[in-house]
Amino acid sequence: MDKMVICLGGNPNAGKTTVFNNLTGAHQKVGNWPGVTVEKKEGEFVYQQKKIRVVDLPGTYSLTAYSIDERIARDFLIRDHPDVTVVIVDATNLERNLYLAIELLELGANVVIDLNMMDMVRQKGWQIDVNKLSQLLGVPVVPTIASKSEGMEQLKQAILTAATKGSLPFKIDYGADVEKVLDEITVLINQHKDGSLNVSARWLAIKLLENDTQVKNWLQNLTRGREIITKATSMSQALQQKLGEDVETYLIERRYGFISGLVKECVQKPMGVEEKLTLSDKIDKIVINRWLGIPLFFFFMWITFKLVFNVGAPFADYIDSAFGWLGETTKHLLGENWLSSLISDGIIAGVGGVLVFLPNIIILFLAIGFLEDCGYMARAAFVMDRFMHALGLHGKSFIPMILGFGCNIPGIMACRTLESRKDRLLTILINPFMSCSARLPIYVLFAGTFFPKHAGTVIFIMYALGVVVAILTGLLFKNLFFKGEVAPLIMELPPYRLPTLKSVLLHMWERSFMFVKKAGTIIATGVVLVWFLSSMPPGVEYASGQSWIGHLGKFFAPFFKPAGFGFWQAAVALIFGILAKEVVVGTLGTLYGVEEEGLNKVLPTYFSKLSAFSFMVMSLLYIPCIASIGVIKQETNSWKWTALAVGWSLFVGWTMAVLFYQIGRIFGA
Amino acid sequence: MCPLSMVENGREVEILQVRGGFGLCQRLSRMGIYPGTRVRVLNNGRPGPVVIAVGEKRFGLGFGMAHRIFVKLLS
Repeated sequence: MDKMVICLGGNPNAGKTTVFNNLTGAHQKVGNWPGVTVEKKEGEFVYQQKKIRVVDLPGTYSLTAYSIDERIARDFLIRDHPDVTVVIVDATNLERNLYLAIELLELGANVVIDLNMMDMVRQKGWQIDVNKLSQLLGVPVVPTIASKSEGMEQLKQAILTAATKGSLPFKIDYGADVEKVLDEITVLINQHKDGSLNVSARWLAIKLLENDTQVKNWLQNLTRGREIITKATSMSQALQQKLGEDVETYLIERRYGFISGLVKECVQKPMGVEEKLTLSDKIDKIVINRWLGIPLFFFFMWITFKLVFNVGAPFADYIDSAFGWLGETTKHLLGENWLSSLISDGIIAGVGGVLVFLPNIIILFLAIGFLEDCGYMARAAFVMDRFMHALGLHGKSFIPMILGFGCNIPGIMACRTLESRKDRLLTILINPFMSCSARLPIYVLFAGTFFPKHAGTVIFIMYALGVVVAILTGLLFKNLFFKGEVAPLIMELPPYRLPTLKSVLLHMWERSFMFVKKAGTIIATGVVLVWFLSSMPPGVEYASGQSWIGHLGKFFAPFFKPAGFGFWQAAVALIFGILAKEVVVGTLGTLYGVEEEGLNKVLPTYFSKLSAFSFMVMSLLYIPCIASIGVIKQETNSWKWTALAVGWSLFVGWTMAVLFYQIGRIFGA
Repeated sequence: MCPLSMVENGREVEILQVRGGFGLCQRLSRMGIYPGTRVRVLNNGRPGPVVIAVGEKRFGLGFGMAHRIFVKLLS
């Protein structure tokens, strides 16, 4: 037997990630599903001398063609035919979770059911007859508590056994009327099916009745495929008349009917438990209360930012002095030559200037991870829904926007959770205006230098301005490009739970690591580029007006004159800021030949209070960084929208900077 | 028959009809909310979101959504 491939499927919040981590440990790799940018996690484990590859499918409620995630899962099962499909089922919620399992069984997958969260079941005092469930479904059922790694051995054993034994045929009885039609279509498909469609004809027939667009496309490629589709459509219409309701809804109801029968047979619940309000419900009464909800939300956000800045600051100082020492030592060891200049002025100063913000970023991601894992983020979407609706956005759009405060990249990627393409595009397009942590160094430097007494307020104004611009942009784009109603909000509210330290740390690590990677690659490259352009042509004084960079800056400087900072150093800093916004401060440091401390003294000779402010405005709004542009392209899958995001932000940034400066001048600020 | 958005806290209702597009009905039914389902209104934040209990699961519905779901009051 060659290498075994299994996959994990399950509803969101059923503990799929935990099971995946338990099975594969550290042997994971993250990539993308072909053609789309939904994250694909793979891992491996060895059990009884067998190497088993594990593919983590996206978390879904069903297997229709409606959402990207569900289509990915389905395509994988049909094309790759994994040896075993493990469905992770939240045992406290069998009715809904088993739906996916049923769909997988219908598709012909070799299913093993992982009955997860058994501890919660015991806590509730329920009894689940696992053997009976297994018998009725005809598949192995393994009770587990993934959060405590319980039952994993049994799960592995069941996977191995299932792989050798193969699956039993599974069929739901849809009632005489539907079955008759299904039989007819199945026969038709079987007559014309060729090797390209390696999936059961009954499943194809069911999907045809459900009006599944993707299956229709597949069938169209068969000889006489169109004929089958036309026939199926007319049969489905006749069926609709007979049933008195839409066929797809009828099929869904039948599946749920089957499941609730199953659950009645296998689960015993003590009486009256369902009537009680759970602790989660009680917390919700306060958290999403119509009066308290929004103030509480702002309170949590305030605490988050307070933590980010107050706890992060001392650590940032340590890192700063460590890099300062490193630069000095390098210079000392290598002497004064071009190499030591490249290493200490270029790489160490540049990358160090960025890594200084790592503590703040780690804390921000820790806080966001905690809020996500404990279940609050889903509530925040609700609290903000009414407000967001007024702006023509979806309540769920709020989460990507909050994440954008950390970094726009995860923010933009989080837009995947929005079902409607319209909402998704709109939220992606406005995300870069959420002031990410990379822009913070710029504010800290400028606000600290020019507005020492009101630095906090000025920084807050920047964040607020970003939000306002995002909102106005959203309104404008919605009216220009996305006319029509916002998709109504429905979201599952997972019960509150205390997040495990492991999962919060893991979240934090994944995201912070992305930042460090960026510092190591894009930012280091940017800084070296700045250093190189500043040292060329040979013999020129480092970073002077005669260097290449000086010429570049002088060319662009006039454009920034109306905004009050029409000198070449500012232009160069902004150009390189496109590589990564963190580079702006580093570049200014390099160009003026001073450390961050020295910038405090140098900058006032170039900037006035007013032009410093307009420079911050420009830095906030103009062009997303290269990495964000890349992600926007990935996620929108369109150069047109990407170009719009870049062009619009440049226009808004420049206009706002000029407006602030010119209006400020009128008032004599 | 009345819209879900008008049901007071703590009441149990049976869903009669979802007045929405095809996509909306499908999405709800896949989450287990379709005509015949019994749900309990836990928190009606009129005119804000409505939290309902379907079995052990909790769902939040935007007010607009709750307005289109018609229900029958039980007990």
